[in-house]
Amino acid sequence: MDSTELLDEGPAGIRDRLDRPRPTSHYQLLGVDRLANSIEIRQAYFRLKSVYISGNQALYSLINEDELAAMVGRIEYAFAVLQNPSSRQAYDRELGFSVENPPLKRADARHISEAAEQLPSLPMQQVPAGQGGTSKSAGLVSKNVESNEQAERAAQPSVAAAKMAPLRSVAINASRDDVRSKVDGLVIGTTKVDGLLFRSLREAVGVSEEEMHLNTKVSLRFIQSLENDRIDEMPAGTYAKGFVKSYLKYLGINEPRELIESYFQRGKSCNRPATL
Amino acid sequence: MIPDSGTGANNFLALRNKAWVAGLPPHVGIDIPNNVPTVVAVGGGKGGVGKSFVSANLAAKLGERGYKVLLVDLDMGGANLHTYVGMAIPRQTLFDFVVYESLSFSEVIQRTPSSNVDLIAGGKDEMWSFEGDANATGTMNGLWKALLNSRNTHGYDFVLLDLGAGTHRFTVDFFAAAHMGIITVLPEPTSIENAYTFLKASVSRVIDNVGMQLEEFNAANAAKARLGSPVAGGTMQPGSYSEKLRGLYNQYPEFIHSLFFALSGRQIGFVVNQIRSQRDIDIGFSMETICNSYFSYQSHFLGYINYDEAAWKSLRNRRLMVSDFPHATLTKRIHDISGNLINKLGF
Repeated sequence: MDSTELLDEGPAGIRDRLDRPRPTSHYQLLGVDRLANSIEIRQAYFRLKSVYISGNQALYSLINEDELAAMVGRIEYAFAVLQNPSSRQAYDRELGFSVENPPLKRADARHISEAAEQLPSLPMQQVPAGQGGTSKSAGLVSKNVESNEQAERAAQPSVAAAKMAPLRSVAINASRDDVRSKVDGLVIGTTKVDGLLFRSLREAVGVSEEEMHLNTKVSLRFIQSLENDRIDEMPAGTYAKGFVKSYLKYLGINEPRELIESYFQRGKSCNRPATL
Repeated sequence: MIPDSGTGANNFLALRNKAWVAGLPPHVGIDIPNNVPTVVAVGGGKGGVGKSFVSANLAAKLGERGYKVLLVDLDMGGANLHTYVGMAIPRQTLFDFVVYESLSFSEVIQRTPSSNVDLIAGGKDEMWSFEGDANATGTMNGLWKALLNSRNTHGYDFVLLDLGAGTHRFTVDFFAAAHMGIITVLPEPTSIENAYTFLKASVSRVIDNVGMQLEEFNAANAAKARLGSPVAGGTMQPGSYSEKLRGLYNQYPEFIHSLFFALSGRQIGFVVNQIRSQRDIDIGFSMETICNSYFSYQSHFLGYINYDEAAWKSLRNRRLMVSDFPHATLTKRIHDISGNLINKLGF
């Protein structure tokens, strides 16, 4: 991983990097791109967790128990920092990667990262091995948050926190009156029930795909195929109906039956595979 | 591979070639032809893990895909690649070319039953054994030159080296010099332990080579001591190879920079042989991840091979497995491995 990075830049680039030797960054440790989204980071984390596990044959003779514990600690810590958007932002700033909102669109992101690479980098904080993640990362946040806007951002429930918190069956905003009327308007005003409607409902309530996924336990892939009308990628009948039901319930629609029926009716008339 | 010209892909390949040359032994590193074949070495430390089986069958699959392959049996202790390939005990061997110098390089090359695959058979073991380490570097010079020129002289795309067990000097030399070193492991602790020992040996060989090329022997010694080599007076410390080496940067910037550059021109591929369950396959993925971070070697899991009777049945018939059982699962696996190999090498 390191060596490919070195290779990309040619000998001169290597010289520049090695002139300021730094400890492995959290991104390098997890083996992800600096612009990786939270899903990629989580996948990398679980992959590493399954490798650095006591009793794995492949560790034999190379990494002993102490080193293994230290490594697991580093992985946990790196994950805790990168998983929380605000601490990740603070960490990015430490690395000299100071983009206020790391964009998720790759094309733009690459452009910006090139600009960011040219900024002089700050020395990276030494990562203590084996530190418990959350308390430490909270400290990291409070130290670096300066403006009000960032403080507000930090106060928002992060994805990691959402994972720990008990699941909600209905979104917070769903009970607000203005949201309610918007949703009702959408449902009543619709002519055909399709993915677009589901997406606009979700956006009207202000729920992200990820939040939906975390709280309803409906997979992200399903949410995406639902909203893009890729009916053939969905699971078989009853399961799909159940997922759509929890999706709509989460948006505060208490009587989703009609919507579900007409959505899947439509799928049938489109002559989709027999599973629906 | 490709001369230094143009932009984009060509530039990348030229750079990779430069990185590869930076880690060669100095007597080989001079006079490199522009057009070298891709060198793939199959090693793995432990005996009986299927190195010769993998090399013979992989060569046949690469040949099937249209590449011209030269198989070289470098197992000094027990050369028997010709049996895997399905040939009789050969008259002309590598020994005639390297030590006796009675035959030319072209004369020791033999056609094999598989298309596009040629073989240089290994010599008898007792012949190799008298020849000590005294003039070790000089002995292999002719072979190196001939192999690296073989694309110009014979049109080979791949030179596939079948290495012997253990960490003999020649074995590690050839492994460290390859573009892609394939490590065959069995899903058992002894084999994995030997694989790591072998990898460590090959990293120190690259350190040696870079040290010799730059004539920075102190730096090379310090690096090896840092890595815990008892020869260089070091003791084993915790921490990965890449971290330890990076820690030496302040002392020997030039050397460490060249060393990482040299390592970036080399790749490691893992093949897990004789797997019986999914957990055995996972070992390959784990080793890939671990070696990437531990050794700074680019490593890839190339594929796995099932535990299957077909392997020894074909050996008993003295025929090549992939041609004896063209529809066996094993053959499919070898096919996958050859595809991954080509992919990772950037063909």
